[in-house]
Order: sequence, then C-alpha cells, then structure tokens
Amino acid sequence: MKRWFLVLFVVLCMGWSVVFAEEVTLRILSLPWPQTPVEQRLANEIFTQRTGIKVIIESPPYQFVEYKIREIIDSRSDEYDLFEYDSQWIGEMVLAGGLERLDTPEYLFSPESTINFEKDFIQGFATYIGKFPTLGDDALRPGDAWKKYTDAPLYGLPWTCGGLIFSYRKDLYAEAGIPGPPETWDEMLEYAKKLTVDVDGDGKIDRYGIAWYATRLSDGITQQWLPFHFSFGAELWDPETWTAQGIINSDKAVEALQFFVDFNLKHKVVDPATANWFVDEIMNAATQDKCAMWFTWVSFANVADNPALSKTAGKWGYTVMPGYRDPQTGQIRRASTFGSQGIGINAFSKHKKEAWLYLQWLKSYEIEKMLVDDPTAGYASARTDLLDYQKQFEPKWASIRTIVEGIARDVWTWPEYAELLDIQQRELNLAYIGKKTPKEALDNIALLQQQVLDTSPNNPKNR
Amino acid sequence: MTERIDVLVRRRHREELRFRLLLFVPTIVFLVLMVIFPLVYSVNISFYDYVRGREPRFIGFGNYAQLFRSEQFWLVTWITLRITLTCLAIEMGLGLLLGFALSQKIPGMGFFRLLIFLPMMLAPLVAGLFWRLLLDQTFGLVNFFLERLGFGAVEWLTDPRFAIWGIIITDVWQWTPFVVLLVLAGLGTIPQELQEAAILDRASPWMRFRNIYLPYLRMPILIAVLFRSIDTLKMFDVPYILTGGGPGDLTTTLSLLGYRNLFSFFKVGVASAISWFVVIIVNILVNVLLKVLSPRKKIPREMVDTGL
Repeated sequence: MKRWFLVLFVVLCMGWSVVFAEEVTLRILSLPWPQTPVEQRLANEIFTQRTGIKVIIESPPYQFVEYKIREIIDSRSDEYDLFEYDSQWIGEMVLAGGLERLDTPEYLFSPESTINFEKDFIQGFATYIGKFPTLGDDALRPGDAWKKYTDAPLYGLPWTCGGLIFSYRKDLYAEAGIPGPPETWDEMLEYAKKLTVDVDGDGKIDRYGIAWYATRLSDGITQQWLPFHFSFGAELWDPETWTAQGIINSDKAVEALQFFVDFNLKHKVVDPATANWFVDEIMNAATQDKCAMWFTWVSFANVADNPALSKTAGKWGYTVMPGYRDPQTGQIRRASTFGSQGIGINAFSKHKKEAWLYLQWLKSYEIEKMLVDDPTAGYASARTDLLDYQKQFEPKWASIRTIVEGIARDVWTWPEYAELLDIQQRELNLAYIGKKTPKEALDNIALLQQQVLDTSPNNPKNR
Repeated sequence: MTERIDVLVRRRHREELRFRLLLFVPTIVFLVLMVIFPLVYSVNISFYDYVRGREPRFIGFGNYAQLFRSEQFWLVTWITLRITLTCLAIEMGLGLLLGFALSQKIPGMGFFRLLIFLPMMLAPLVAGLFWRLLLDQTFGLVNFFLERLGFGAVEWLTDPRFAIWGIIITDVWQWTPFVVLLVLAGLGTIPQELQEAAILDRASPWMRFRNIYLPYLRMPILIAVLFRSIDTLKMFDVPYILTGGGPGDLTTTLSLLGYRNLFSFFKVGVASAISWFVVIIVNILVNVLLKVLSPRKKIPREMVDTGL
C-alpha cells in the first residue's frame, strides 16, 4: 500500500512539474528602429517555433532606452535578458558590470558555438562595437588597428551596421545638368547653390539645395557636423591623454565648422529653420520635395523612397559622403558619422544560456539575410558572407561602404560622453545660428570638455 | 455606578480614537513612503557627489556651490523666471478678457466655451509637438498666415529673440483656458441683483469692474496665479519638445537642466540640488504673490461662501 502511495506521489510531482514548469521567455530591451518589429516577427515565427523559447522585444523611445538600461544594471535586475545598445553606451554598461563577457568557454569558445567572431563579421567594426575599452574609434579606421584588440574582452555583437550617407535627387541633378554626386564638399556647395530654387516665382525659396538637422536636442547637430569635422582633418580629442583642448578647437576644426555654418549663414542654401530641425522635419523636407540633397540613414531613406509616404519616392540616389580635398596632396578625405548598434547579454540575466542561443540564431546567415531582404527593416548586415549580396541594395550598400572603407567615425564611448556631447550640442547650435563665431564656440567646447575630462575618474591620470 | 459609566465612556472614546487613527494609517504610510521619504532622501542626495555607477561622496553644499558658480545655471534661472512672469501676465490678462467675453449671454456661447477649453485637455507634450509644427519657419501655418498678411516669416524656434516666445505662446495657448474657467466660475457667483442695482445706479463699467467684479474675482485670480506660477516654474515638456532648450541654452528651463543632469549625465546629486532650488524659488515666488494678491480687508461673508 505504502509503495503505491509513493508511486502516486512521484507521478503527481512529475505531472506538477511538467504542468507548472516555467516557460522561458527572453525579454529584450531594444532601440525603436524599423528592424525591431521585423526581428520580433522572425523570432515569433522561427526562433520560438524551433526552441519553444518565447521572445518579447520592448523598444521604448530612444531617449529612454539608455536610462532604462542603466536602471536595470544598477539594480542588478534580470528584467531583461538582452540589451540592444547604441555604440557610445558600451563604456558605462561595461564599467557598471552589466554586460556578460562573450569571449569565454560558455559562449564564443564553446564547441557548440555557431558564431566565429573573427570570421563572421567585418572585423574592425565588430571589434569597435563589441569590445571595451578601445582607444577612441581607431578600430574603425582602415588598416589593422583593430588587431591590437584581439585579446580585449568582448561584450557584444553587431546588431546593425552602417553610417550616415549622402542622398541626392537624381531627377533634379539631370535637369540641372549635374553629372553625378559630388566628390568634394566644394562640389556639394556648388550643386546646392544651383539647386536652391524659387519654383513658383513668389520670391521665396521653395526647395533648398541641401537639408540636414542642426537641433540642439539629443545629438542632432553633432551627427551632421561630424563628417565635416573629421574630413577636414580635425579630431574630437586625444584618447590616450584625454585631451580636448587644442584638438577639438584646432585650426582645421575652426575651418570645418566655418564651412559648415556658412551653408546656413553665408550661402543660404539650407533652410534656416534647420537650426531646430530633427528627424521629423528632415523627413518632411525629403518627402515633401523641399530639398535636393540630404544626409541620411538607411532607415530614413526607406521612408523617402516609399511611394505611400513620399512625393519624391524613387527619385533619390545614394552614395558615401563627399570629402575634403587636401590642397597639398590633392587627395579626397571622407568621413561619415558612425550609426551602428550592438547587442549583448545582461550580466544579471537568469536565462543566459537561452540568450546566447538567441544571439547565435539572430546573427546566423539565414536570419541576417531575412532581415536584409525585408525592405521595411531598413537593415544592413555586418556579416562578411552577406557583403557582396548587399551590393544590389543602393542605400544599404552606401551605408555599409562607410564601414568597409573606414569612413565612419564615432564620438566617445566612456560614460562621460553625454556631458561632452551636451556641451558640444549647445555651442555648435549657437555657432550655426551665428550667435557665436566658430572659433568662440569651439574654444568654449574645448574649455568645458577639458574640465569634464580632467575630473573624470576614468581618466588614466585619475584612475 | 457613575464611575463605571465614566470608565466605559472613556474606553469608548479611546476605541474610537484608535479606530480613527487606524483609518489614517494607510494615508500616512502612503505619504511617508511616496512623498516624505523621497523628499528627505533627495535633500540628502543633494549633499553628495553622486553619479550613478560611482560611490557617492559627501560634499556638503558642493553641488549648490557648483551651481551658483555656473553661468549656465543663472542663465537658465533667468530664462525660467522670464517665461514664468511673461506667461503669468499674458494668461491673466487674456483670461480675464476672455472670461468676461464668454460670460455674456449670447446664443451659441456654449460652443465657444467648449472650443476654448480644448487646449487645456491636451498633454503638454502633444501641445508642444503641435506648436513645433505650427511654428516651423518653413512648413508652419503661423508663418504661412503672417506672409499672407504681408509680414515676413519669423524664425520662431531658431532666432534667439523669438525662440522664448515660441515657448510662451504655447503655454499661453494651452493654459489661458484654465484662467478663463476660474474667472467664469467667479463671475457666476456674483449675485444678479447686485449687478442690476449697479446698472440702475448708473455705475460706469469701470466702477462695476472695480467694486463688484474684482472683489468677487480676487480669489479665483489668486488661485489661477498660484497654480500657473507653480506650473510654469516647473515647465519641462514644452521646451523639451519645442526647442530642446535651444538655440544654445536660450530656452532651457531649470527642470530641463535638472532632467539633463539626471537622465543624460546620471548626476543624481546635481539634479537633486537643481530640484530643491526650484522648490525654493517656487516657495518664494508663491509667497510674494500671495502677499501681493491676498485681500487686505476681510472678505465679506457672502463672498467667502462662494465655494471657491
């Protein structure tokens, strides 16, 4: 009798555990990019079907994602298992102990791992987006600089890939007899002058030659100014000595900023309202036929080329940014703003194994290709075996070129970046509207940024 | 026997008192946890060099000293006060005028009242987005009409002279209806016979305003001023969405500065110090306004019993 009770008890326990076994659900904190809903759909249709693991991707507005990540990490919470993070956040996430190291036998070096980090991704790019610390953004530059980080700890894999690209109206170029996209900033200015027009003859400009956003909000004006700054040969800082003074306000930097603000103040080939424009307004200008050229991201380009949303759909051409022609060498130096994100595992997650499974699935050739093929995702892949395939997609390829050719440049990845950026935003915006001269603005940036760098506990001098 | 009754009565009283206190407990616990503790905690934090992710370090009044030495902080304080005082003046004047106009007994006035109260029902963030589009130099309707009327286009959100007016216009548009609402409520309490008697006595409109309407409206106006000044001093949403605080910092308010310090730079100590500075400013301003606007004479009983 006793034996029967025991058997019954064991059977009941097993049944109980089967019925009430915790179903694993991976929660991902993501950025609100167009690829996010596509990733969610693919996860539901493929990953959950194959593994039984549910996936919930949450993407609050961009400005709240970073704070949310910090909250999760600081409270050592397991609310999310994976973070999709912007490139400049990696420092604060790693220093707060919030990202799981991936170059370990549990993950990348496990025999079952389907990811070959060295082979699968564009190396300099993947190194920069996933490893910390790196010396500034040197891993992104052409050449072998990334190789010095071979043994550096890895915390994330590429989630997106690309940089700011140049977009121009092919029909208006043809009408104006312009042979093709500009190679240099001077050519771009010349074309912008030609294409700034009063269409209806009422004395008011109806279409400006070029558009960008120069808002003080977030990193608005910085995104659009960086290509000028870097291509003129200027730098933001010296990451070895943590020096901004004399670097961000160098003669080359002043020359670049002067050239940039002159589009607005002197040549008037850009709408003066751009001083307060951000994403909504630039999209409006591009889709409502208010500009002939603009700097864009792949996901924005998709909207401008969508006939349901845009008057100008199908009329845009895309290429990499024009550059600065060095008067000494005659060579053109290009630069673009880095615009890529990474994905990593929350160090406090209770489902790290499942999260790694998801990462391997998401970064597989099959899924990356599906994301690339979906036009609504606006997605460019960093997988080396998909590079040739992506050459057929015009804006996507231009965006990848900024990475492959080492044109893309980024800001700081240390936790102080937000304060450095805020100083920069304020002063650049004032220079853009002519309230300060470029030299005054840059000198003030250098002064204030240096104070932040000098007092940072992450500065090698203070460590 | 009497002693026994006294004991019973006292026991009953004690039980009632205990029961009343018991009813208070949830409210007290809620207030302590949700209001008093965070307030005291934030005062404490404002004395620390506390950046998220780093060990907090006690620095006394260091955060306050750092703020008071900062040019940016005083610029932002001045901008906040400028926006507050300008908004108050316009909203009060316009609110009074509209209140009087809408109190007239004309057919269809109900519809206009409904229309005028609509902005107040929107979230400030929505109002900000709405005005960001309206005031856009290129796409905006405001400039479209200005140009049709023969005026030039105004760089509402980018010209340092006008950007602050973009914020003020938005706030005035959204919150004047609140003043109108209070004025209408005040006007509704004035006895009809008093107004008729004044007209029969041939009192001029100014005399009627000065001696009948104003005494009755004093309390509604005081309430409007208090609410609007507190709200405007804490203004965050509109500048955040309309201009991002730009150009430069020329439309940055104290709350926006606090937000940047907390949510962008993770400087919890500095953000707390800014918040407490706002609390102090609000208290000073509110007390000054109360002093200026409070009725000097005792309000007649019939005016107090208006429910306001």
